[in-house]
Order: sequence, then structure tokens, then C-alpha cells
Amino acid sequence: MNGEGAKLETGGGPSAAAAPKKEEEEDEQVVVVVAGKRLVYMWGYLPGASPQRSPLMSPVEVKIPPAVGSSWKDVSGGGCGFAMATAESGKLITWGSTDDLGQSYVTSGKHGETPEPFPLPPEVCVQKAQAGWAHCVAVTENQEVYTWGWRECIPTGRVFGQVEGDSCERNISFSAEQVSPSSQGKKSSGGTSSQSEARGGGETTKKRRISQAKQAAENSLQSDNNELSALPCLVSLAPGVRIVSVAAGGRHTLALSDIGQVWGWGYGGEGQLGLGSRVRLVSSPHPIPCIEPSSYGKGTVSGVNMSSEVQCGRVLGSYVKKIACGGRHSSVITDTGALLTFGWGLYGQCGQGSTDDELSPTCVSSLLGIRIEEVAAGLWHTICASSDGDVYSFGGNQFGQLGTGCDQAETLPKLLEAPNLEEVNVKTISCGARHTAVIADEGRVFCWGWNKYGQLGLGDVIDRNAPSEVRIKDCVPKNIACGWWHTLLLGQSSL
Amino acid sequence: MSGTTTVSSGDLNNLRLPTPTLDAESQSLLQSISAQGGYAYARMAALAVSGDKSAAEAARDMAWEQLHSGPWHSVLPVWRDAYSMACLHVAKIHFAAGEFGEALGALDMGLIMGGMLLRKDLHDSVLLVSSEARKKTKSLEEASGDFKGEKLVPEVPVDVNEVLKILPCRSLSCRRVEKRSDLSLEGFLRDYFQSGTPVVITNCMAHWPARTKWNHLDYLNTVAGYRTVPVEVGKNYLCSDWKQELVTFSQFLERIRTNKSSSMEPTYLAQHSLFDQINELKDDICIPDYCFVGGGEIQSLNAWFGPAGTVTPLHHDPHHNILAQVVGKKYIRLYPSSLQDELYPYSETMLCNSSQVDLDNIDKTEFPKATELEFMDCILEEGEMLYIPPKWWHYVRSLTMSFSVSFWWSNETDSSSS
Repeated sequence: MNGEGAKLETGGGPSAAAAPKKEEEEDEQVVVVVAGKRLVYMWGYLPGASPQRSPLMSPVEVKIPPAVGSSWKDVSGGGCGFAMATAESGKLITWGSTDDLGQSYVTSGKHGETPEPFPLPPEVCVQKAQAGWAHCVAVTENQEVYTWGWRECIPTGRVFGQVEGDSCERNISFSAEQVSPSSQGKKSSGGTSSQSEARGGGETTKKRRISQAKQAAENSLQSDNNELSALPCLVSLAPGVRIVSVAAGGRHTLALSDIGQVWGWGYGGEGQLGLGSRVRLVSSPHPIPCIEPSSYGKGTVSGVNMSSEVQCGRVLGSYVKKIACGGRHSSVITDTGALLTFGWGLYGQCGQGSTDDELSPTCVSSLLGIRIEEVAAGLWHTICASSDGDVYSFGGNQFGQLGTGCDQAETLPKLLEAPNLEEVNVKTISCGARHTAVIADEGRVFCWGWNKYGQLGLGDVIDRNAPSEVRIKDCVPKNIACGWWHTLLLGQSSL
Repeated sequence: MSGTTTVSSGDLNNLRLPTPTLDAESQSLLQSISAQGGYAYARMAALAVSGDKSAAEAARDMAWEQLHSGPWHSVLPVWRDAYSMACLHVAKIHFAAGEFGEALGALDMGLIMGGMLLRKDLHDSVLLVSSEARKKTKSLEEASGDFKGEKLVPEVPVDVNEVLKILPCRSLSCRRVEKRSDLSLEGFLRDYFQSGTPVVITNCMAHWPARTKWNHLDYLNTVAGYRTVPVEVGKNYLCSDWKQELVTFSQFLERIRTNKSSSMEPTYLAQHSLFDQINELKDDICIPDYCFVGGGEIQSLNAWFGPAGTVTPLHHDPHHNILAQVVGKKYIRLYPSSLQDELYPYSETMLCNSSQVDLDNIDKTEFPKATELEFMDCILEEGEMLYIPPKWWHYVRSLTMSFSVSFWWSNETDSSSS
């Protein structure tokens, strides 16, 4: 990871890649299908990543630790100060700044300076992972969810790992009344917020009443100074619920099941859990109704005069296909390509044409008629892409993260009409805190937004308010995932 | 300011910024921040302590993010303190390198956006850095300053005919505010305070150092150039394109000095507690004795500094107000506090003390009752003070570059500031 620029280095660990093959030439184009080695690049601010601890302004290759014994599978992004990617073998690899002062309070899972497998239960095989600001979520091969990090975001559930005085897995189930919010000294948000906690829908994990003494003992363990962040724990959802993807926001988490049902937990003070009210803390996963007649929000489907249930099914579809979390807002895409948003709305990040918070999933009606396929969200903005590869952006734009060419916020989705996106179909989007990164299906990478820490990979630290291309030699970009202030790229070697 | 901020290497070793509160509170503050998920911040703060400049900057950016990541009421005090802490670290590093302007910039941001815990350290650091900065600039720029002796406002009498062209209709044609010279406290109490009547008091600011000093851009630049201040840009605060910015005082002076044409929207340093921020300027003014009449308490001192053409639209305030004109001239129109719906106040809570009527462009169909109302007005000259009784509507327009100071005070029976 020393030095700048993309380099392919041969050797170093077995590779599952076959030798590159070439297809026949078609007309004037050479179509090269390469079963090349998977590479991961990073740029932006990962303080431990370079010896000088300076931001990486251009892409730098990240080598998978040889001990992992497999190649990279995918990039996951990361949170504030740490990066995550998955390996073919099912290990989750993380890296970030060092815990070099040995201070006990600096861990969010003890990410080291160099990539290392993250300690999860040995049988866990990670399919996908996501990180919010200070917490992480991972989906396993068995379609289960593990989560760890900032306690605010961790539901009380089965805890893996050493806890003082107890070396086995413990099943800590609390009935809803007994759970105390793990944060201390938190101000409640104003207005209609309440400190209510939602019951996990249909949980069958044991609902034992716990004695006062044991409760006190467990509380003190949780606030043990040596572990200010929570160790990985398995998230209990309802029986038979299989999770296929997860999304992590500033302080909330969403999970999507194989039947298109969305679950959420964590902080919901701005409505980012879509439960219809401001809930300060949902400490166990709760199903989020996304496709309801109420999801229409302000607009109505023009000219259609049917019962709302029928309208619903027609327009909004029947299940959720994709989920995304921003700082304090969330977004989902349905099977009919409708985009719904909920949560904090002050910067227009809900795309409803106002600055109001949305407390339930609300259809972005100005995009109805366009089939949305991808969505991502940052601290104050949301970006989505249609099946045609067009990009729409809305929300705050102080750092140019909307890519519209100016710094004006947008409360309604705005089509990005940048000249360099015209001939290009965007297929993958990811957002960091204040920047955006996309891959177009021709394998081209564009970034825009805040660049003070090199998170755009353009070789400098000047913000961009319009899509700017990042060129990486000898690599076909496959996936892109942003951390808070950095960007990770998964590529396939073309050598 | 020009790049004259570096110090000879011999002095560098002495440039330490003492921060006793920070030293004492740091450990526990970092614990609290980590409990709120701020692990990355805590890492950066630990590095900042050992002089890592980028880590200090990163910590500041992280804290700034937390201050802006949710609705204002949801921001935890601990993150405001984290922001102050980061600013102090950044300031220390700049100060040690002799970069006084940058150090003051960081300290000012800490004062503007930070929490209460570390305010004393921030204030004390500002004093220390400012005095070091002044020691240095004095020696280099004794003879000529950046502004080369330029005055803010030339001494020119008002041309009433010219002025009437830019003022609202009917200006100076109704009742004029009475001007009293050497008004005694007793006289003020009896003739104006008790009856709630406006008056202009003349010949009462001769002893203010500000009267001679503030007309000089170099003086203002030396005393305050490095400091960060909030300014307003736009026609007036009721307009949709109005916004606030943070700039250095130096940048602000540059802007208003070159703002000759009225086509560019004025930048106005308005309603800012400049005298809390910059002690030297406070030493240049005196709180008028009239403010102690009635046995109430001083609520605030505000600076109003801007080019010609700044407008504060018609509104009223709950307190007694003396507006002291230090440099330049202003036109002020007053309507009695007894008027209410005749001046069509906004219904929104935040704006209910402001009139919807734009005196510079009265919409007679929208606001018929406002057109022929009786009012009092005056042109406030240098060295004069205007007393505005509570709830009296007032509209203010600067006729030249202008620097005024307002003193708000309450009645004895009033609760302290709303």
C-alpha cells in the first residue's frame, strides 16, 4: 500500500483466477473477456493506511493478506476511519487507523492498520457487509445477520465473544419493558419524539423476565470501560426470516429479507426507521411496512381513479428489492422500480419537494414512471439510478455531492445531465458522508463531492460539483463502495 | 492580511498555548465522546495532542459533521465540546508554528460553534494569540498598514435632496425626532423614557475613543483583522436569497471598502456581539448612562458595521434601545408601538416582530393601512445617539459606510432576555 497509482503485482498468495482469455473480434471492437484476478483499490482518508497518515488522493491497491488464503470477493465500504471488504473464503477483512496508543476507548472492533480478518465466529461465512458511521453489519451465507460497534446501534441479542466472567455464548433476551436504552445522558429530540421501543415482531427468542440483580450485573458489564463498543452479536429476527442484504446509516440499520420485507432497528428520531412516528431507540428489529396506501405521501397518481390498494400494487409493487441508509434517512426500491424515502428531510434528502421529515416510507412521486434500480445515500443526500442508467440526485449539496454543477440543494430529484454522463449508463452507486461514486457499465468510474481527504481519487483535494472520471490502469471496475471519507473499488485485472 | 505571520525561528520555542481546562477535562471528554460512537474522533484527538496537524484537522471535521448531522435540537453538548477541543488542538499547532491568523481562525470557530466546557481556554487563547500577533505586526507595519491610512467615511455634510431620492416616500416630511444636546439623565427619564418617546441625544460621545479611531481602516484591521465574524449578504433578512457567512474581519473590510456600486448586494456585519469577541473594541466605547435609567439590566451590545445601502426592514424589539452612531450616517424611521395590524406583522413566530411592509416599495393594494400613517424620522449623524422605546417600529438605512453600536436594556420588572 505504499506509493500511489494502480499496480498489478504478480505473486503473493494463490489466486483463483484463470489465465485471461480473448473472445473473437467483433466488428471494430475488441471485446476482451477476462477471468482476471480480483483487485481492491482504495482512496481517501484512512489515517493508518499510509506511513505518513496522509490522505490517499489517488487509487492505491490493497493487497489481501496472504494468510487469508483466498482472493477478494467484494468491497463493502466502511465507516468513519475504517474500511471493509470480503474475501472469497467468507472472511471479512477490515483495516483503518491503528489503535497504536493502546487506548481502550478507541476500538470499533479493533481495526488494524493493515487488512486483517475481522474476528467473527469461526463458522460465519460473510456474504456481504455494510458499515454506518461507527457500526457494522454483515450478512452470512446462512442469511443471518451479525452486527457490532457503537452500542446505540446494536440490538440486544445473542452476543459472541468473551465477556467478563462468561466464556460461552449467552442468550440475553429482554422483554420490551426491561430493555433500557444503552446511551447515557442523551437528549431526547424535541417535538413528538418518544422513548418507546418497538417490540420485535414475532420473535421467538425467549422472553424471560430477568431479576433486578442480574439486570444490574449485565448493565454494568455492558458499560465496562474496556469495551465501549459492542462485540459482534447475532441479530434475532422472526423465525424463518432470511436476510439477503443490509444497510447501515449514521445510527440505524436496515435489513432486507428474501421475500422483500424490510426490518429496521436503532435510532429513529427523524423517522429513519419508517415506523410512522419518531422513536428514539428501537432496540430490537422491527418490520417496516413499505408498501401501503399511506406510502403515497403528498402526490397522487395522476388521473387514476381506483381503490388505493389496487393503485398501490400497480404502482408501488409488492415487495422491496433494494435498501439504502444515509446519515439519518433511508430509502428503498420496490419490484416495480418505485423509490420510497423516509427519515430526516431538512436538506431535501427525501426528495419530496419539502424539508419535512418523513416518518413512513413515502413514494418519491416525481420519479414514478421511471424504473429506479439503484439507490445510495450519504449524510444529507440521496442518489439513484434508473434502469436506463440515468442518475438522479437530491438533498444537501454544500460540497457538490449532488453533482449538479452548483452548490444548490435540491428537494426534488434532479436528473444529472453532465456531458460526461450522457453516453454512459450508470449501474452502481455508492455514497460516502459527503461524496458520491458511481460505475457506469462501460467500466468507467466517476466521483464527485467533498474531496478534502482525497475521497474522489482524482489526485488532488479540490471538491468537485460535477461527475469527474477516475482512471485506473489495467483494471476493469466491477463494484464501488464508499466509507465515510474514503472509497473502495473492486476491479478485475485486465492483464 | 498579507503573509507576514511567520516568526523568526528563535521565538518558536516559546509559542505554547496553555489550556488548563482542556488538560483537566480531556480524558473524561474523550470517554464521553467514545460512548457516543466517536471512536475515530478519539483516535484523531490522541494524535492531535502529539502535534499531528492533519489528525487535529480531521478531528475538527468529524466534530463539525456531528454538529450538522441532525436537527439542531438533537446535537449533543458533548459534540460541541468535542468541536471546541479540536479547535484548541488545531490552534495550538498553528500557534507553535507562528501561524497566528490560522490559530485565531480556529479559536474563533471554537467560540462560534463550540460548547461551554472549554470556552475559558478559547477566550484566554484568543487574548494570548492576539497579543503575540499584534507584537509582530506592530514592528513590521508601523508606518503604513494594508489600507494605507484610508478612512472609512469622508467628512461630508448630508445633501438632503440627493438623499431623498433613495429614501422611502414621504421621508423627512412628517414629524422629526427631537434632537437634544447634553440631555441630563433626569431630563431623559422625565421627557422620553417614562412617556416612551424617541429622542436623538447629541454631544454625548465626544469622549469615546471610537469616534476618532474607528474611522481608520488600518486601526480596525490591526485590532480585529484576523478574527472571524458572521456577516449577512443580501438585500435584507426577509429576502429569500439572504444568507449568512463567516469571514475574517480583514476580508469584510476589503469587501465593504470596494463596494462602491449599489448593484452588488451589501455585506453587513449586523447584530453581532463584536465587543464580547474583541475586547480592544469594547475599550473604545462607553455604555451610555442613559441605559441605567429605569433600574433595568443591559441585555446586549451589538455592532452594526457595513457599507452604504444596508437596510434593516421595519420591525420592533422588546427592549429599550440606544443606537449610537460612531462613523457615518443613517436614516431611521419610527412608528409608534401602538400600531399593530396597520403595519401587517408576519404571523410566523420567528418573524412576528417584523412588518410585511417594504417601506422602499410599499405595496398599496396589499397594505393599504400602511400608506398614510404618521411617523417620526431622522438622519442620525456621527456622535449622535437615538433612543428607541420598547416595541417602537423602526426601519434603518445606512446613507454612507456606517459603524453603529446598539445598547439594549430591560426594565427593572422585565425578565431577562427573551
